[in-house]
Amino acid sequence: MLLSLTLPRINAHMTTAIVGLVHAGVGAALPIGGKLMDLTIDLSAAAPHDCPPISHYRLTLRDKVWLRRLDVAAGDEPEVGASLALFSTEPDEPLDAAPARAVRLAIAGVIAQSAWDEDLS
Amino acid sequence: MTAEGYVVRRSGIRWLRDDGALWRPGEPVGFCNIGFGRIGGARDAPMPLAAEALDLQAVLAPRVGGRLRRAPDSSRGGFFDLLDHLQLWSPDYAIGTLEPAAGASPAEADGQLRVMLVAGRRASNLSEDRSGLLTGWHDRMRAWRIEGGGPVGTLLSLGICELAGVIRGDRGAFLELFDAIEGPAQAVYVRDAPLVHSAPVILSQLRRTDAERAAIAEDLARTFAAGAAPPEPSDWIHAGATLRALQASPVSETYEVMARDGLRRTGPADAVILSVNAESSRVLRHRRLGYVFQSHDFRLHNAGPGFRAWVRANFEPVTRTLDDVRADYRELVDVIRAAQPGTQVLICNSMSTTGYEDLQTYAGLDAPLGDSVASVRDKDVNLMLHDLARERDVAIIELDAIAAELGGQRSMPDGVHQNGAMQAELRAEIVRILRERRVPGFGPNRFS
Repeated sequence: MLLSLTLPRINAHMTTAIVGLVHAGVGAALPIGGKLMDLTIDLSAAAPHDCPPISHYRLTLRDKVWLRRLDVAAGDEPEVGASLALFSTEPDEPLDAAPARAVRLAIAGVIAQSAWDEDLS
Repeated sequence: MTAEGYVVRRSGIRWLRDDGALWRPGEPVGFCNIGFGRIGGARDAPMPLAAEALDLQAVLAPRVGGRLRRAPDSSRGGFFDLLDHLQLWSPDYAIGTLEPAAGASPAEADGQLRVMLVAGRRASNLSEDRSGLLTGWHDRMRAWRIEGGGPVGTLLSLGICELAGVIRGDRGAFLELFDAIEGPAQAVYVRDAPLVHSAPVILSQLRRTDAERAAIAEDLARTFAAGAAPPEPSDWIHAGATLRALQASPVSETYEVMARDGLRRTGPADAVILSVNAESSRVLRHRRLGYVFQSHDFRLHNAGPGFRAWVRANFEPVTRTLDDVRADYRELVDVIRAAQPGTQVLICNSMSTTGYEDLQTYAGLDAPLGDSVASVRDKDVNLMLHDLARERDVAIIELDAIAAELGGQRSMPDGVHQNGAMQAELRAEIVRILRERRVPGFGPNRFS
């Protein structure tokens, strides 16, 4: 069974998210709770703001799956609803069928681990 | 209002609503700029409220509600309503006539307005903006209302932006806060730019000697233009504002205030409000002089290339654990109370839940969770505040609980910036704490 993943609307005001670290490679077996990718949502991109509301999230899995295709890479900025990845419940399942459903996710707000001088470069 | 040795001058009245509008008791109806003229004395003697003299305003409010008709000469427009040297303040001048609302007793009015003063200390003499009530770029803003005797209670806010609207209200002029309290009281607001007032920053300010202030200024003058990127005009402004903030110490400042019966001095603050969200897990330390510097990351990111290059070349990061934050808070409270026993310290806690999170398992998150999951960190921080409250008798402003009660997504969707209803709840909670802790002047307003 194929399972899809599109960019969820984590925040009511978001239109896009910036892909950060992608924790899994194509072909990887991912357990329940497996890390998939980190996202940054910067609402100031849509509305300039003195104190920009930037938040960071990690997507982890609530299905035991194989990652079969990645549609984004670090630095990409997909829109809400854009495909991020495709999974299967068997390791070698053909990818030509339509996804049976969306993969089940957990979303956690995470603390960004940036270099101290990242904002100074 | 009087000031011995001076005449008090004023501009025309700038009205806050239309002529003939209905006002409720105690609601500000207008404001005017205030100034002083020396009666004799040395020409170079310091003037009252000298640092704020260019942005000193009186906000006027009738004691009873009703329909107010403006006096025809109350406002003549143009510079007459901006500059203070064209009219004298006269206690007998009638700004208008009031038709009391049904049920209101004219005797309560006493023909007297309530007068609240607001003052802004300009970040630079260039930052003139007389367009409205307490407008302009100020590094410190304050308001006070003193009618009669008694100690003047002073509340100093050093929080980050989450407290701006709570303390200063929608117009930025403290109107809502003073609508809730009787006085004699003063509220002071110091911005979180360019410095964020975390505990180590405030401690550094409190302990800095004149020699250290001079060394910081000398170092900045010598190193700022010598960096990898030549400073642009905005970089110089940023550097000047930073130096000014590093050389200040808001917690130890005293204040000149004007009341109906003259000028007096008050402070330091009786109560200080801080934001736990100011306590970053990383601050910067000057490599050579060792002083602490903390600015919002976005302020650094948006600074010019010269300022960013100066910070990068002259500072190093210092990581702070939650235990470090707690120790810094303990030390700060001790230092404040050693200088001013009885000072109340209020700390606004952090919103620790988010409707955007859908956590079913912690398996994909790095341990310790307090270093990786924002909501766990926020809960750890809030728990730390409870330990601190027991150890040092500080008051916790329960932003977390209030946000949960009002609905986080509705009231504070990004976790920091609240809507008006939540700001009002937080303001009421702060006033409740100040009353409970018997900070003078924060009792209920008799006329609202």
